[in-house]
Amino acid sequence: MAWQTAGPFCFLIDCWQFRECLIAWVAKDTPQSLNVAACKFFASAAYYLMEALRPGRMSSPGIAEPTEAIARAKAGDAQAWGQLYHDYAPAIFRFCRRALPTREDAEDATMEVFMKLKGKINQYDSSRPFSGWLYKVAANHCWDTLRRRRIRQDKETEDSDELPLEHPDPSQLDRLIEQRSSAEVRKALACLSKRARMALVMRYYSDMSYDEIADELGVRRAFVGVVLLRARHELRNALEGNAALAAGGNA
Amino acid sequence: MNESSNSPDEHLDEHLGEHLDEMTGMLYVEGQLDRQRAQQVSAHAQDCSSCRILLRALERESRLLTRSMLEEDEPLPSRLAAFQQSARKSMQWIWGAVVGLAATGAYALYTGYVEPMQQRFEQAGFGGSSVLNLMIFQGAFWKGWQSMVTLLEVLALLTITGSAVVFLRRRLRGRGSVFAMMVAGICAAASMPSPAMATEFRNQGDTIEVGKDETIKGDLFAHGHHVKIEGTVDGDLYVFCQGADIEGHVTGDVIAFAQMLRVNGKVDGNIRSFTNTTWVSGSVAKNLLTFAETVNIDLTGKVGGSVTTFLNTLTIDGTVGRDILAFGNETTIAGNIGGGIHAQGNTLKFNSGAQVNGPVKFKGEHAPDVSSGAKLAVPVVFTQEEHHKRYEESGFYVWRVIWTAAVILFGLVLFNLLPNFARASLASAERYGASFGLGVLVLFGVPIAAFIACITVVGLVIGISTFILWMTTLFCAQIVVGTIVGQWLMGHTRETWQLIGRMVVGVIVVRVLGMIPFLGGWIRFAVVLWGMGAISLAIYRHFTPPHTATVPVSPAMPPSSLPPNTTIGSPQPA
Repeated sequence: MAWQTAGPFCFLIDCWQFRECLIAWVAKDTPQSLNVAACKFFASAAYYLMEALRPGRMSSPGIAEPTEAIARAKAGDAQAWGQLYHDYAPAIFRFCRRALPTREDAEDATMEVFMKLKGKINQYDSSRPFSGWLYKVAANHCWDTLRRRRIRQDKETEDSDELPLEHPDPSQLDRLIEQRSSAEVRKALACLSKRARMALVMRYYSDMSYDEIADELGVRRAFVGVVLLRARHELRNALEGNAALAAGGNA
Repeated sequence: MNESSNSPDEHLDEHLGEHLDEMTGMLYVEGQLDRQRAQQVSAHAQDCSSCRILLRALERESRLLTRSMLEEDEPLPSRLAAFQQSARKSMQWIWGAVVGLAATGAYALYTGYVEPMQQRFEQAGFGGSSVLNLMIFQGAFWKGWQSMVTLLEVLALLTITGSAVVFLRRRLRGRGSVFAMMVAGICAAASMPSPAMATEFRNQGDTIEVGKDETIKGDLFAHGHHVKIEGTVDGDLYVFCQGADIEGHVTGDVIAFAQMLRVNGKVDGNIRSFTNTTWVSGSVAKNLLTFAETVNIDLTGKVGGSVTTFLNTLTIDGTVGRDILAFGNETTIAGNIGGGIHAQGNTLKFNSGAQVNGPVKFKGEHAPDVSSGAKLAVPVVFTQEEHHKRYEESGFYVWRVIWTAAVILFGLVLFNLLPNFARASLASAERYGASFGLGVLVLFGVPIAAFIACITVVGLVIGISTFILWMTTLFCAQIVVGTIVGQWLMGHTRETWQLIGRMVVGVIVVRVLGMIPFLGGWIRFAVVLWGMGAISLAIYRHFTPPHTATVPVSPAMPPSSLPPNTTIGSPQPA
């Protein structure tokens, strides 16, 4: 991901600026700019250090494949379980938070996913990435949870399947995407139908393949693209709707 | 589903000559097209600026989605962190140990107290069956016991169901259904058939008399200031009064709650009495069981079966056919005892003229005083009661640990079953004055109220339930106080598992403090007062919601005006 790779470059630039200011300070230049650069340097150093250490995204290079912990967990070592939970719970919680309607649901689901993992850990094939398997279990659980709740959204999903996909004006689409912040997107995500939301989370949060998504949602692989595109359309509508609402509110 | 019309292959073939359609664009950006098609798309995009913009927009959209989903907009909930802590610290074995210890405690309780008790009762001539069996199925106290037990069983079942419902509340969604279930259950319990009583009730003010020539067929319930039986009761006699004189003949049992019970006549059955003084100068064909201050069996008095007493002073000048089991302060024997004696208390004295045909065991403070004129079949086996010995026994500490574990386990179950109530109790406990005040009232007032409720037969269920609740509260008091102490030591928390951790620490501290000689007793007393008061306050608050709860909810009313604890089924003005 571009924004992830950009981080270290920004940090290098910060380092360079800090060095320049240090040289200037040694040469008895203005100390003001040194303070600013130092702050920036330490702030970004701290940020990237945290970024490297945080277990938010499991595929991040900060965390190696926990082969040993998994082996111990399979043998029933409670401490190994604790370690796995510590490393992966934040990511799983965020996954559930994006996929399920409320925070309480996400909390419950996270705990339940880890309960399920205990029972299923022996089914895990160590040659494949652990995080991928974990997301699969989580997706499975969340989708089950959503499906069990027979609420009006079922109807909506059916309706949206019948609608033809309209082709947007590229530059208009480009502008819409450019103007929206992450927070707005998160807000809009909450308005989507459950299948759309689930598909987007599986694809863009946990980076699951089309095959895996097809498997989870119970659709043909060729149809996954349609589901995703429809989900994007729903999201754009929600973003536009929210924006219109906000504009109306401000007026 | 119009799956086929949207399949990527068709779109690509149809539109590649013109502009790229969105589906193809997305599949291209996502890397889902095969090599040849991807090359076609790429070549087209190089020539067509509109399609380039589309691809860029789609790519940006993907990135925006990923970024917004990955951003840590909220921290990991503390509930999950607590779960994590519990998982990390691998507490399972500790809870396993606690459960094991609690099970051992229960077993110890049974073998240490219940079984010996049963044996003693059996020794005392209560037949070969257990006390429970005797009391319940043989109708020793009251023939209605059997129905009562069924009722108690139903109540127990309801309690368990209630707990299960509370536990599953989140899944049931809606307190209304829970409340409805509870009400339905209580109604079902209340509509249980009451015990059959072909009985006569007498409640005639000051004095109730059964005249010399009068014969009452069936049981008699007599309730008044003074009860005097000169005639015959052909059945059981139940008396609730200040003074009772039985001069006539009772063919069944006598159950008496009285200040003074005097038996001059003849009773063919048993006497069970809860009195201040019981005086037997007549004859009782079967057994005598009393909870009393003083019991006297006169020279002329005769008990055919055994005598079991829990009292202060027991004096036997008359004849007892079988064993004596006495828990009391002073026991004096001057009469003829057909069986043995098992006594526990301060002193045991055999006056001249005493004759005991069975073995005598005495456990007490002072060695038994046997007069030279007394005839004992076997010498007295005496065990000196030692007060401070218990601290020196290593077993004492082991049992303390086991009991502490049992309390902790109970607390754990409570905190998980009734988390809100537990918190409410804790909140109440922090109002020290109110808690202690209410604690005094509840500790002494409730048993008295329960006893009074028991006396009026109709209120027996309520009385017994209240008493059971009171006992439970007594036990829970240390859990509440323990948690408060834990919070003093480790700081406040709102998380259930952290709270349980504080409870564990606090309960241990409280129990250790309770073991200090002399001071420990006062600490335990204070703990009971405080904890009981807190729990009672929480119960009181739970049942008296704010006024808005009783106002009918109109649709126009915003839901936020309802307090969080409002039960949908709460009583509303008709």
